[in-house]
Amino acid sequence: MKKIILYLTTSTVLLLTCLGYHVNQLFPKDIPFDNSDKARSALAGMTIETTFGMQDSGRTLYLDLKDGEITQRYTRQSTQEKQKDYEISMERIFEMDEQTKKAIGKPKNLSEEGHEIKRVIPQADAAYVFYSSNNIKIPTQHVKSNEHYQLQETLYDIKEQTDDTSYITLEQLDTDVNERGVQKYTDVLPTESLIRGKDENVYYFMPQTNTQFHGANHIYKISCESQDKALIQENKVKIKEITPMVTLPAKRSYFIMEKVADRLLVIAYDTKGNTYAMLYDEKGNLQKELKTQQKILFDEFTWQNDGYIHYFADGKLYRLDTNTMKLSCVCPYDTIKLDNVSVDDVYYRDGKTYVLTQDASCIYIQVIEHEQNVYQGKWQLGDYREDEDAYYMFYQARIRR
Amino acid sequence: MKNMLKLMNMTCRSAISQIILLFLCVLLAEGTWLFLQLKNIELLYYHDMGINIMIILIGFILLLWIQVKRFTHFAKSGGLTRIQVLPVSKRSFIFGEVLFNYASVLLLASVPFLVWFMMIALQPFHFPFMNNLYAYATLLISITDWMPINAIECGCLLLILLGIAYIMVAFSFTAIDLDRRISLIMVLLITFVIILFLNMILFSSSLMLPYRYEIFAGEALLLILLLHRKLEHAFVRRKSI
Repeated sequence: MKKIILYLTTSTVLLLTCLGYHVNQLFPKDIPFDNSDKARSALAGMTIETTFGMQDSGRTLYLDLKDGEITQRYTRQSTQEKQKDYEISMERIFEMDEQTKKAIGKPKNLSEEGHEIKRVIPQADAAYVFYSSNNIKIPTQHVKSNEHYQLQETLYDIKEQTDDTSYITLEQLDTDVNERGVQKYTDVLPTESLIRGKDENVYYFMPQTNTQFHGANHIYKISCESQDKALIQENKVKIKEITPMVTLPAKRSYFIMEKVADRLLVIAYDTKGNTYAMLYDEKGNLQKELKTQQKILFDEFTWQNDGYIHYFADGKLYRLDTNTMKLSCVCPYDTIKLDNVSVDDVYYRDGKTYVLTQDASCIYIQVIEHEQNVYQGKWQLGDYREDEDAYYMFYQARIRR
Repeated sequence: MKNMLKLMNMTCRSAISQIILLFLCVLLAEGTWLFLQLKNIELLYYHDMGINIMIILIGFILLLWIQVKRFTHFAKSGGLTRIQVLPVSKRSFIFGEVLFNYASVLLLASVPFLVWFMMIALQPFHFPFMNNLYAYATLLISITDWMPINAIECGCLLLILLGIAYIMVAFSFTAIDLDRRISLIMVLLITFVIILFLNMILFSSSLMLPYRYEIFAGEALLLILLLHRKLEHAFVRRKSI
């Protein structure tokens, strides 16, 4: 009898202890944070969210720091939820006319089996540019290549086919024309080029151009049919029609379109070194325009909140206020500690700019007011052995909007 | 309660040492495999759970085998008749069986946790973390994905394990010559089909439900209710025939 009772209690207690210990130890305990009055007043009303997790992991750990108090929670998300982002895709297609094709001639020396060969197309009115989504083509402009801007074709040698057919795709190469901030072009469009409107079935799209592009550029409105369950499964939407909504001013290179506080911000350059920031509402009316000699960047190191856009350029942190369309300098780099850290977030409220940076183990919080660094805080999340092949924590920090 | 323990003492005692031996074997096998995986820590970051799951699954199958063997031996030696004659509630016999099976399942289910605790305690130099080792290692390494993350999920896990214990008892009952054996097999089959069907609907991409403990626990509850009713029906009513 004793044996049975012992067996029952041992096994139950064993599993319960395991579960209890596991759930108790799931949350990091050792996260020191300077909880002084200065920190509390500097970070009053701010919530700093930190998200931990591997990209494929089903679990995410959130650490929130609000008014000096740390709260932790775990969530489990399904893999299907993550894929919802890519619902519409745009492809850029270059097509040569027959005359250009003849002028370039047939490719030679396609001997390497299964290899792709890249060939630069000489200066010519080389190609017409199309954007295509779900087999709906929108002709945009034609593109001309010169010594600065090259078009490249990739030739695939397919040995098995008897009739010397190698199919041709055209790609854009890096360009060192006087556009600033433009990095490498790829054929798959950056997702930022597509903006989802307030109405879930409407997308806005602006083709990127540079000085080699000729013809009028537009902001296109893409109307989709309301969501179909079968299509959502494949993360696709059915496009009803694509219509040009706004004809953009000519002689400018269009860099990017972004959604800023429910409006569309278009950033463009011209050859004289001017930068334009144009703000359109969702109906396509131009609301405000800013012309400046200063750079305006919009990339992964640009942060926005409540219509304020922050970016780093020329050794300074800039703020573009889209409510008044004014560009101002927040502070030079020296004011913020930026050595060996990556910037996670920049946030503006009530005259104070909050900058979040991180290195492998710490999150640094800095508050800037009137070009002065008024507060510096450190939140140590982890401590790592400095191994070459050590896997570091993957985490992101941001201020809750 | 006391009757139940007395009955358990009569029916289950012989299997305890076997189950503990099985527990130790599974612990050793799982521990060795995890130790080998830790040598190449990159493996742990990917979803490479096949062998870990396989070892635990083999453990559960062997446990089922032990239980069925024990039960048939007990029935063959005339144990069932003895219980019919004894002046105790026949329900307490079923409860005793379920409790013993449940305890065995709990014992086996603690293996992955124990192995993981041992790895963290004995092999901390495999991980790059200097503080909050348990929290960070558990978060990042995929073999711990299934472990519950809060009290509710712990409860759900316990419920699921109870469901497994009920399946084991039902299997033991089907192995002996009971009058209502056929219908018990039918119920087992029907529940499996229902659960399979439910899973197919719930986790199909049209509903897009995430894999959640709560859903599995609900299914386990359904299974427990069906099986419990049927087990009582199969055994308790036997006397009157």
